[in-house]
Amino acid sequence: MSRTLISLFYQFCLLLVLSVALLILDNKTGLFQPVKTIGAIIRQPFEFGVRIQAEIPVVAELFRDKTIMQEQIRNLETENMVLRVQIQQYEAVRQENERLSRLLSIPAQDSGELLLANIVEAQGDPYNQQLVIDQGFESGVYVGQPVISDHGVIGQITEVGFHRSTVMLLSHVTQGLPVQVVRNGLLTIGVGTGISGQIRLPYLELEADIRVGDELITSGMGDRFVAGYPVGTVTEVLKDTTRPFLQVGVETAVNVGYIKNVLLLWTSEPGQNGESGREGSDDGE
Amino acid sequence: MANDATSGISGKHSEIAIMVTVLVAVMLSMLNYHPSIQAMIPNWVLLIVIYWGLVAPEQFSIFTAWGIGLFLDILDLTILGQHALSFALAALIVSVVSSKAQHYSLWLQCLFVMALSILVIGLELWISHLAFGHEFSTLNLQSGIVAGLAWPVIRAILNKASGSTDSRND
Repeated sequence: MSRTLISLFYQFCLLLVLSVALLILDNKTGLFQPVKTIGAIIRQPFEFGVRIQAEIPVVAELFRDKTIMQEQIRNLETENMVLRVQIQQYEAVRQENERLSRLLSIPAQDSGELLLANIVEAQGDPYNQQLVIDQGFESGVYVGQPVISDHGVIGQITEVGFHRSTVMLLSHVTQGLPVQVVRNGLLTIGVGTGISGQIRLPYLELEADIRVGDELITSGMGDRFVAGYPVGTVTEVLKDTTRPFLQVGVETAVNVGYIKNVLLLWTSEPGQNGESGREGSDDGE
Repeated sequence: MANDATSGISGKHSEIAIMVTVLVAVMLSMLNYHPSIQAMIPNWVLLIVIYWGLVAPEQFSIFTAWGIGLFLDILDLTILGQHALSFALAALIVSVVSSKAQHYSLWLQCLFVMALSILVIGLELWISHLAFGHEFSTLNLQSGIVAGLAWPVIRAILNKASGSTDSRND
């Protein structure tokens, strides 16, 4: 009896070592990405349930009152009109910006290609800052791809399946993002807190010029996010002279609890930013 | 038919039963539940691991449990090794006590399953805390309690499904 117990214990020790090795390798390297992709493909058929759940409101919509629908269409048309007008302004500003950038011989940054994706699963666990969306490598989604919404930055892709990808939110503790203060151009890095909708700026010196209410945008450093997307608003600045850095809390611009769709962003090749930016504008005109 | 095999479940039969039940549990665990009950859904695969560890310890080694955990890790979008390690631990504990636990009263078995589930959940939480810095929350322990409460039903269903003659306690 005791002999079998001892051999059991050895077996468990072997498995323990194996598991810990797997955990560390998986956490520190991307070695198992292909395996996870296979997992995502196997998972595919089981996600029909999700799709059916998602379809129910759509079907219910069909039976809605006609007048409500017409009202909605009218609202959407109005909104569309307003947005079009705003886009015209934006287009003008963008062209001007590009001209000025060219004058300064700074490569203008193209806003890149966009793809709309639906959120199919917001993790039930409030501490797990992830979303699952319905676009995968079939649409060319890649790990590290920026994900935004109409209000600002959401996060980046961390896992890619066939028709599914996982988005890690900005507020996830492993996430960092180069940001810039709109008011004075101060550059720093935003880091996730693990609390939904909250990030912090841990690397600002005590003398740094930052106030509650300052807007943050992406700075474009690090070649992942294009500059200029809203990140959040400073909600808290604590100056503790016993610490080397300020403690700055930021509320993210996007509240993930209220969105249904996200936008995937393809940035143009880092090396030829200026070229593709110009080409893009020519096509537009 | 089950009476013919009074010496126990034949190895082959049991292996097929193990595979089928594990697959069903994996499918159940991949379904998406309503967010309001999500936290209360027990870990189906863990219950299956406990059941087979108790009923057929010869066919169900801790390596099998580890393999099942790894399979779940691959399917789940979590870190590899998390379920594998915790299932191996559960199987280890189960196989240490299996000879006695089979004769436990139903109450005691429920408590045992509950404690084991909570232990496994705690281990998984700890791993994801180390890996990603997820916070601990008591919300996650609910499913362990539900697992203990659901055990009599699960055991009855599995006994039926596997054609097991192990109904001494009823």
